[in-house]
Amino acid sequence: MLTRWRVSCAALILSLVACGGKSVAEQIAEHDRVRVSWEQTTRFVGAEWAGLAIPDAYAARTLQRASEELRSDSEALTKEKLPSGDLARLHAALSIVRARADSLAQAVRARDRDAVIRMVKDSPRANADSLLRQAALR
Amino acid sequence: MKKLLEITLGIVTSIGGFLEVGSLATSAQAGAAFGYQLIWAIVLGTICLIFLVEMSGRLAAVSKQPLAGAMRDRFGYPFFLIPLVAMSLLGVLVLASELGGLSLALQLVTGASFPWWAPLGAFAAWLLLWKGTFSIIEKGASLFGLITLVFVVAAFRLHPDWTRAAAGALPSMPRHEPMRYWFIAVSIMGASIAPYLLYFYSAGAVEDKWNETDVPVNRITATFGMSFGGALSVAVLVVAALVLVPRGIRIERFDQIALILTPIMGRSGFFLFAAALGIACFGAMLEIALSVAYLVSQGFGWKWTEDARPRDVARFSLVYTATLIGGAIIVIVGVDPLAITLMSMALTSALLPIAIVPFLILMNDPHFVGQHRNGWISNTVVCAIVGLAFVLAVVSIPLELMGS
Repeated sequence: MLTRWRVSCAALILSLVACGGKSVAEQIAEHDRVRVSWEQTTRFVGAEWAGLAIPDAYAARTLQRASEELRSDSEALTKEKLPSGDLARLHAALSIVRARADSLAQAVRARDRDAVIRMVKDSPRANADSLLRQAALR
Repeated sequence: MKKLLEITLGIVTSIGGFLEVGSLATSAQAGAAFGYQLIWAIVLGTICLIFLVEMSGRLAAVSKQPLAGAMRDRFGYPFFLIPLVAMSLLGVLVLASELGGLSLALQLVTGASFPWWAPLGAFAAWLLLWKGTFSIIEKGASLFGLITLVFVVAAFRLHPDWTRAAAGALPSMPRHEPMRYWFIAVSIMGASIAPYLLYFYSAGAVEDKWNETDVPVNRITATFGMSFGGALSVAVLVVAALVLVPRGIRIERFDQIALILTPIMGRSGFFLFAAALGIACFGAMLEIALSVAYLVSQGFGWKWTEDARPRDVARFSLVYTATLIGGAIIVIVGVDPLAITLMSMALTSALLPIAIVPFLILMNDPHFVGQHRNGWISNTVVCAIVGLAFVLAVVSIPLELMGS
């Protein structure tokens, strides 16, 4: 009886592990989602700070947090077994976004509103229409 | 007239006390990641909560006994120790997530790092419990909590497509990220069906000396209060969906949630969010610390009441003090508040049967509730929703842990 119970538990754990494994495409999509999410967060924070809607301390802290999250995602990427071409593309994209977050944080700390507005304008904007349709909100 | 006032006050306090860090974080995360698709989880959780809150009030009104005391009498000490230990530990974990939410709210306003605020927040809660009465704690925190209605105002100002939102009230399969979808669904249900609320509610009914004439009032208050409260969670989800989805922002950290009101209300939206988060979390902290104290004291047969001087109920006061210290330590150590919130809510779902199954047995025992026993509808609805939350939790928690 106990043996059968143990076998059932082992089977359940094995099946969970099997389901929990992500394919290469899913891994790449996940890294893209994280990058885009933090990229858009920095853009949003920059725009709201320039519009005086959020305090300086919060803006600086969130931009710093974005940079840290992007760095930790970059580190996590090195531990994953992905095709070298995808790996290089993801690393490059992450470092561009991270550099932008750092520059924005610097401009916010220096209270350089013009620079922040310029950087927000230069950063890529999310395709709101497509995202809204994807989430069935439109 | 007096009953009408009681009902109104009961509903208002239920609304004000509904949102806390768990429901706020899980609803916002659901909206940002899946649009309206997870509204069904809030609806199911709220329906279950209406039944459970009504049951715990009915038990107290008819048997004059709080839930924990009745459970100990019915099942004996050895069995009672299981829910006692599980719910007390879970209480400390959930309290840590509320204290994390309060500390984050203070960080948003002041800029000072959140772990620094944890001892101060815990001390303020302890002081209020030490000096305050049950009525002040229950009604005061809930009335201030009405500030959370700001999310309803924001939702209406965003002019959502209500037909699409209503479609989200029907359960559906995920279109992407299935692991995350089910994990958030489980966390939402755990945030809605919080067992601590039942211990708090039934102990409160005994403190307020309810009797059988209060059963109809309890039913109306539970139904409308929790329904409107659930609507608040839906409002948070709708706002998060309409503000964050078009920007491609998913909530990975608490800092990101703070932005959901600024596009609608500007700078005042930012501070209203911080105030709503802080007040909701502070109110929930008081309720959780008291609930653990009620659970342990009633379970061991110690003297318990929030209305007595602490030295007259020393062990009861010691338990809420220890609970607050335990929660504060977890936050001071620097555990990520969003991670601890989501995990504690999912664990709540997984542990629900330990708290709810004995409760259901009590509610069908004429020795305790006489002619006010549960009907088949209450039993079926609660069993089905708790069973679903448990199965989803058992499957999704390991998957989420492996995924992260």
